[in-house]
Amino acid sequence: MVRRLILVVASAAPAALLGVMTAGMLLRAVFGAHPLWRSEPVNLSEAAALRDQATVVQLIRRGEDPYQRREVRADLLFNDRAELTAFEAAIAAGRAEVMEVILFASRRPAPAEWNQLRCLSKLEEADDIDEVLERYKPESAVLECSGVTRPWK
Amino acid sequence: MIPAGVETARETNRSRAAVLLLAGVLAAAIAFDLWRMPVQVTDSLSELLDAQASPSIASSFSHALTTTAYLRPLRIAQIKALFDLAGGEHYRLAYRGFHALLIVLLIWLFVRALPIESPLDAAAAALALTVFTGLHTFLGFLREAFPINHFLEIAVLVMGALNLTLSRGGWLIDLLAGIMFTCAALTLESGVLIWIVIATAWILGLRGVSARGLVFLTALLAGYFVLRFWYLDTGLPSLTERTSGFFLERLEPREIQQRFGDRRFVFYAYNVGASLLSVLFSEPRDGLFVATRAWRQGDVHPHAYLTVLSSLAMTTVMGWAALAWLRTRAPLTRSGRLAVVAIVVLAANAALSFSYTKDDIIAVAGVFYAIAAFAALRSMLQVAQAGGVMRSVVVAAAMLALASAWTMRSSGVHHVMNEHAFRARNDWAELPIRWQQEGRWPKDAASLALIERLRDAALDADVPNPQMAPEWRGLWYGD
Repeated sequence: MVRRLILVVASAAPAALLGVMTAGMLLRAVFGAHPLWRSEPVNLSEAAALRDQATVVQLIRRGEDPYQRREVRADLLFNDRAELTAFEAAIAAGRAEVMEVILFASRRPAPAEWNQLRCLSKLEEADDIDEVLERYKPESAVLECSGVTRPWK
Repeated sequence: MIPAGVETARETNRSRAAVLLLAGVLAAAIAFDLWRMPVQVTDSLSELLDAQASPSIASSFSHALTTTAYLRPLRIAQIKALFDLAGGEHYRLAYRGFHALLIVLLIWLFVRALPIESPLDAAAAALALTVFTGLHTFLGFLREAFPINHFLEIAVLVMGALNLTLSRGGWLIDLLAGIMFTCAALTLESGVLIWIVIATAWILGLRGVSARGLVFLTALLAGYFVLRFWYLDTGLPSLTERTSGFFLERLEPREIQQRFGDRRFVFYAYNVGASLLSVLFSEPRDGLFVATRAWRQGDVHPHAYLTVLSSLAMTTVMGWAALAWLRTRAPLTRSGRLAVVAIVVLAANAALSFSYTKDDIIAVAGVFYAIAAFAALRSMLQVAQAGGVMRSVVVAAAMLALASAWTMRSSGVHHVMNEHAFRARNDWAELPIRWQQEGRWPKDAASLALIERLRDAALDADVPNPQMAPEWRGLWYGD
């Protein structure tokens, strides 16, 4: 009897523990607090830094301006917090696909805005982002990067 | 004083109830995850647009009969049927709801097939459940839907057929087996595994489907081959249809043609071998020896160790159980017979993967691997119980380690589904850009309205960003 008990407990205990934890998870889901399916709120720049194109589109649709600088919390992109636009966050994260989504979903950049982004991309040597920005180049824009520095450390 | 028979019956009921409870909880949690996933874009949206354009289910079915290389008319007809059922509004309810229903059914059919008569059996079944849900092939049932996960449908039908062989039989069971075979075979090629399961089970004495039923099924199988290769002449897929893993590299269709165009059998043999190894050792994955490659590059994540070592240990237990049975030559118990069916299904499913090796295609074999695991674990626990205290303690320690590893794997299902939900949602965000660049963006108002509705639903979905999850999850659970 004891031998059987030892064998049953050893074989079934991990699965039983998984069952209990999963049941707890489901119970919390009933009250809208599922531990795994719970999104932490992010702003537009943070979403861009975290390669979350869908949230980027969603926030732009809700009227958020990707040209406005917002706080990107420490450890999301850099060790320290930073103030970045969504475009700058995409460049800093090296995400061409995020850059394209922002450009597609928002108003076209003015020549000066485009120049700033294109220069930042050049500084980061992000060829794929360069390509995306070239597709959205305003007609009157001329690339001039003197004096352009990264807005992050 | 309770009679021994009554006490045994109570113990059996309690043991079965405990496993069913565990299975129910795991199934509910996975179904919840599925419900949270947006309808996917890749390999799915085109099918939905086709379903929208099709005038009827019958039209979808008959149109699919004219395709080459594959015979899957019911796959297309089902997509259309669910599309119509959605009524222009409830696409997530129709497709994800159906997906969730299928996974619950599969888990229930799995547990139902296991002969659980004692607490020892229940312990083996609990561990087998974690093997079933923790094996990488199980993720193939969850990660994607096109927009229906047809691999999951086939697994449900095959497990349904296995349950029929365990039934008391009758003409209704035979008829049901025929219907299930027809549905499965006209959905995906691996549907013919139903015949393999029923024929093997019948030979082994599991005759819920009668000899008459097996003859009926064999006639249907012959009919399938005649329809496919003679009447419709659909042929087989060519070498140049997809990229494929080959040892440590991924080959493009052009490279496959160059290397194996004049010796296809080498490529086919590799695919069969890779599929077999994948189920037994969780390596290779999709034909690619990913863990070996990572090891050569000095970049092995804990996930690779966990999957390969836990599979190696489980397969070793199966090997031990097979050898133990061969030594004694004792009559096969029901779980022993199920293990033999599992071995045959594994071999047959691997053979069906000859033209293309992918975890999803071998997923039915993954379900049967877990059934074989149950039989082997049950056998080992019984031997341990019959031995001395020392043997029991050693086996219990080994079982605890094995069960912990598989439980860890099983718990990763939710993380992987979150990863895929996140990707699916991002795919919707990028869709207009990608399709416009590729010249695929539709112009008609109905298609655009459908895309807009699905895209809005996906973007509004609350999907956590896995990059904000603790780093250990990615390292231990992979993707």
